[in-house]
Amino acid sequence: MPHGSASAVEIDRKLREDFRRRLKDYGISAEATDPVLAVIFRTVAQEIEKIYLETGRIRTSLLDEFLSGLQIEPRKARPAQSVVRFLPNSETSFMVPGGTELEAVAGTGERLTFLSDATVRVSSARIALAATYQDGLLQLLPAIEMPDALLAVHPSLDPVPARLGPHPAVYIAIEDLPLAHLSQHSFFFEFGPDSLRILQAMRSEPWCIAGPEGELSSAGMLRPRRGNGGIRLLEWLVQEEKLDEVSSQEAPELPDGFFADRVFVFPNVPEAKRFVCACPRGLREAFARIFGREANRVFAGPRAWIRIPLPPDVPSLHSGFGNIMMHAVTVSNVECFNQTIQFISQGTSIPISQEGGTRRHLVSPLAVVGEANTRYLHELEPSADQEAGRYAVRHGRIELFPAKRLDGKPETYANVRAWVTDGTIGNAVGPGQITGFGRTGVLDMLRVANPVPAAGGTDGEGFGDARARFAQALLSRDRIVTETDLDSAVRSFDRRILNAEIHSALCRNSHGLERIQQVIARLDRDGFIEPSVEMPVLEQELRDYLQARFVHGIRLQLVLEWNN
Amino acid sequence: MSFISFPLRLHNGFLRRTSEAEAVMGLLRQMAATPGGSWPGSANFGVRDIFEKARTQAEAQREAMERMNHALIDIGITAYRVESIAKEASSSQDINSYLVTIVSTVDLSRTYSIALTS
Repeated sequence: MPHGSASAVEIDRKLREDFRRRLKDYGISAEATDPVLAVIFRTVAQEIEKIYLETGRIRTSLLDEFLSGLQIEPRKARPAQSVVRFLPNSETSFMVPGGTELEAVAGTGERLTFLSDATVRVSSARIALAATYQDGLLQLLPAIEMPDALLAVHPSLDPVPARLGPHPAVYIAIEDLPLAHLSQHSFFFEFGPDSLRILQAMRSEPWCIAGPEGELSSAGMLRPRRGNGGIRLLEWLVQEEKLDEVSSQEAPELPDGFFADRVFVFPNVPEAKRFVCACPRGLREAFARIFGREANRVFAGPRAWIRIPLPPDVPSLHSGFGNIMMHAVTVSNVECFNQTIQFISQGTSIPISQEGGTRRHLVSPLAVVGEANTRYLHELEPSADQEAGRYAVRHGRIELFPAKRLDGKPETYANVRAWVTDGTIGNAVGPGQITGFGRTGVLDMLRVANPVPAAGGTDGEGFGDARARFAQALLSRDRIVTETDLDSAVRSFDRRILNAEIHSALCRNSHGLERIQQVIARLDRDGFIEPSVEMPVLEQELRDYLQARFVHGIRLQLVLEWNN
Repeated sequence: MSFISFPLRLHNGFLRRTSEAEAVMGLLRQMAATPGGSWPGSANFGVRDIFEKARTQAEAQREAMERMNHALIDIGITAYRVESIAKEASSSQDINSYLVTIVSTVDLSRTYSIALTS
């Protein structure tokens, strides 16, 4: 009898049959039905049926516990994401902090709130031109609206030959830079169809600002890392500052949204790196062909030039890249649920998501802080403090287990903060429907426009999807066990690693025998701008990455070699 | 005497027993005291609500009889069925008294009666 579909009557019948069979074993034949036993059997069957009906809920709860216990991303709603472009009303530059509230009206009429995913600076800086280089040809990107000074010389949109190395690349020139140079400036890339490979490459490819002489060097190199909501935060290859002044600001720590990997934000640009030049090396000849006789004149002024190299096997960059916009940032449909819970009057189980009866869906808990200003821990988070307060999220409710005060009595209240979203309703916000700032007047010097619709909002993750994700995570756990795991891990770490050789050995050390895994990674020399600076960084990062995934007790011996 | 007597009582270390007809009548007593639909095991179990409106509804006795029979079938008691429910004269205006007769489905000559009040 399949437990999922058994009714109380079927269970009752089965119980009676079993009972009669057991009686028969004792030599008793009971043909008539005893009324008292009939009521008892039916009552028990009814309870079993209730448990069977609850099975789905129990399975979901168990899965949630597993996900939480193994620190796999829990099932939660995803906020819809869009991209807004800030248009300044004056020449002054403004900082728009991460978490800035924006108002939107959905196509269905609801008024929704979006929060910006990162801090960006808005200034008069603009893209003067962008060009793609591939297979020895340089070509202007037609979607970029060039300034009048450049348009006046009627540049050619046809590809022209150039000798800029074996790797494809994108060049972007920025003019009218403020004093802060490109500090906290952002770029939004629109991609054409069939550009997945380019999008994937852009996730990790370094950016390089050309130096004052038009040279490309490690001093101007930046690399992207994942930021809130999937925004890519650029950071200097050679770090001079430990903490970016804006990175410490609070913003919702959201998973990658629909527009992840399309917005890049510069870090603070120190004075020593505020490079500008007339034209990067190697480009002048090609630009002379594109801009004609006026090329020297239009490229006399200082501009910041950015080069983004791409892998050799990417599809056509000219059709792959659409528009590139500055002063744009992703925004996510989230709001902060912030409530002080009085345990005596409100209890310790509070609805926090639509599943629990609220209007919005839970994205993630932010913080639960108790009476003594101490943080409540997740119920499965290990801690030596037996008196610590704890919380758990179940069936759309947050369950609080009050911390003990110094006098041994439980705390009476806690403050709960969590990110909540409107879920799929957020997807109904079309282009141009993010209308302004939530707090009127704060940023009245800026206008807002969203060139793309909001997308990617969900009300939560279904059991099937979560189970598949759990199974996948459980099977791999990102650990390196087999030789194939190690080979794949090394080669997928950086596209400039062409292949890897793996040797296992036993070595004697002062404590006895030790297992060693030797990895020889061969690197593509052409993929490096300044190998002497970039290689040690790559080596350290690869070592940290592998070491974190190795089985305990195995020592890594990493060797990097050039391919030529 | 192999049927469990209700309410449950112990006698010499065993549950007190009774006859089948007495056990069924005990069950009917519980039905008379239970409002219909209040036991999730069977929606037909309970006729107290019907007896309460019996003063204004002429069909109440027939309705109660049908519901009792449905309840007996629901829980697998097929050896007896309610044959009739007749209102009896009561000494108090506030109390209604009914005579419920059950009959064996195997031997129709075997009938038993029980007085129920509401």
